[in-house]
Amino acid sequence: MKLKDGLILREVAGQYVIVPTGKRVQEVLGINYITKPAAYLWDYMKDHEFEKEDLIRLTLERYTDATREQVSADLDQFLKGLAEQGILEIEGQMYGSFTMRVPRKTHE
Amino acid sequence: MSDQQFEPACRRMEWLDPFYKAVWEKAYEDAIPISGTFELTPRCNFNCRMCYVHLPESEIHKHGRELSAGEWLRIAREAKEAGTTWLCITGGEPLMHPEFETIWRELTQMGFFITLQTNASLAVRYEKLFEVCPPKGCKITLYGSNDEVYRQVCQVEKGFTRADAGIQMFRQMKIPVELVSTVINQNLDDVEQIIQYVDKNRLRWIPNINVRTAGRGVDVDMEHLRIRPPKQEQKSDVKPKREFDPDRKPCNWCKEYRVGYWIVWNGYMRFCSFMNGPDIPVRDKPFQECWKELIAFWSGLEWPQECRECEEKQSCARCAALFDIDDGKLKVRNEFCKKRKG
Repeated sequence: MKLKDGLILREVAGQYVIVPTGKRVQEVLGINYITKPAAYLWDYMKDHEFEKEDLIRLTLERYTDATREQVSADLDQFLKGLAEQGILEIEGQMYGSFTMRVPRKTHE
Repeated sequence: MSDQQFEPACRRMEWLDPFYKAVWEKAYEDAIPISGTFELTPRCNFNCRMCYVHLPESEIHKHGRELSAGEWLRIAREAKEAGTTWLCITGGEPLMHPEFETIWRELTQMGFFITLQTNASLAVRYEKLFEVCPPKGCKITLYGSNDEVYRQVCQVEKGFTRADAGIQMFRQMKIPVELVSTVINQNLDDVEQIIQYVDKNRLRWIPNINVRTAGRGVDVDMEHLRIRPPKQEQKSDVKPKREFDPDRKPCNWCKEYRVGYWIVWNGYMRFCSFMNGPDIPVRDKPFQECWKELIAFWSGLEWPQECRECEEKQSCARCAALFDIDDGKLKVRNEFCKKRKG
C-alpha cells in the first residue's frame, strides 16, 4: 500500500495534521490528525510503498520498550483510520469521498 | 479579572474537538499565527451599500497598491513557515484580483486549509480552476432571494441569478458552503424568502445585522442601512447587567488574539478587518517580523483615558474595532460614545 499523493503532513502548534492539497481536498474530508509516533512513520510512508510489517519494524526500532503485539494493534487502528479517510491507496480497495458532476443548467 | 487571569477563547470552548483545543491553546501560549486572512483586493463587481472595503478601480491608488501574485505568495510561504494552517481568502471580491488564478492555484498546493469568502457571482467563470483546486469550504454572502433585492442592496443587475449559479456550482462540487447575510433596511422584508432559500438548499446560514464603518476610507451610510431591533421594555427593578470587566484589555477577548491576523489588500498586517491600523507593512518586511510587531502592538493596546475614567466603563459593551487607531493608540469615535451614553 502507499499514501495518496497531494497530502502534506504539517506540525501545527505541537500537533500533526494531514492537509490535502489540490483535488485531494474533495476526497479527504474533515480534519485528520495523527500522533507523534505516527508522524514519524509518515516520513517513511510518504516516500515508499510499504506493508504493515515495515511500519512495525520502524516503530520497534524507535520505541525499544514497545511490544510487537501492542504496536501491531495500534498500527491496525492507524491504517484502518487512514484507509477510511481516503488517505491510503490499497490495491483493490476504494475509500474516501468521491463526487460525480451532472451537467449544470446554464444560467444567463 | 486582570489581564494575567484572562482566559483565552480556546479555554472557554469546552465543546471544541481536542485537536483544535490543543492547537489553539498552544498557539495562544506561544503566539503562533495559526489562522490568517488575506484580503486580496478592494475590487468588487458588486457595490453593496454596507461594504467597508470595496473601492472603485479609480480610487484604489489613493489608498495604496494591491499586492501582486508574487508578493502574496511570498507572504503565504513565510506565513506557512510561521505556522499558519487555516487561511481565509477574501476581498472585496477575491476573484477580481487581476492575478487571482495564479494566487489560488499556488495557495491550494501549499498545505493550508483554505476557506474562500466570495459573493459567488463570478465562481462559474473559474469552474475549471475550482475543479482541480477546490477550497476546503466557501463562505458566501447572500443578500436576497431575488434580483430585485440584490439591486437594492448590491446595486447590480441579476445579482441573485449570478450568485445562485455560483452557489449551485459549489454545492454540486460537494464543497461545504456557508451562507452569510447582512440584513439591512433594503433586504429586511426579504428575510423570510432568504430563509426559505437556505432551507431549500440545506445550507448553513449566518445572519448579521451589524453594519459598521471601519475607518478605512470607505463611507458607509449606517443611518439609512442599519435596522433597529425593537426596543424591549426594561423593568425598573432589574438592574442593567454588568457586561465587562473594566480592567479587560481591548483585544484579549477576541478569539484571534495571539493566534490570528488579517492582511489587508494594500499589504498591512492587522488584527482585525474593521480597524484602520496598525500599518505593519508585510509587503516590505518578513512575515515573522511583522507578526512579532503585531503581537507587541496588540498586547500594549489600552483603552483611551476617557474610557478608563468613564462612569459607563463596566456596562459599555465595546470592542477595539469600534474605535479608530490614531498615532498607534485607540481613539474614541464620538458617534459610538454618544450612542452608548444615550
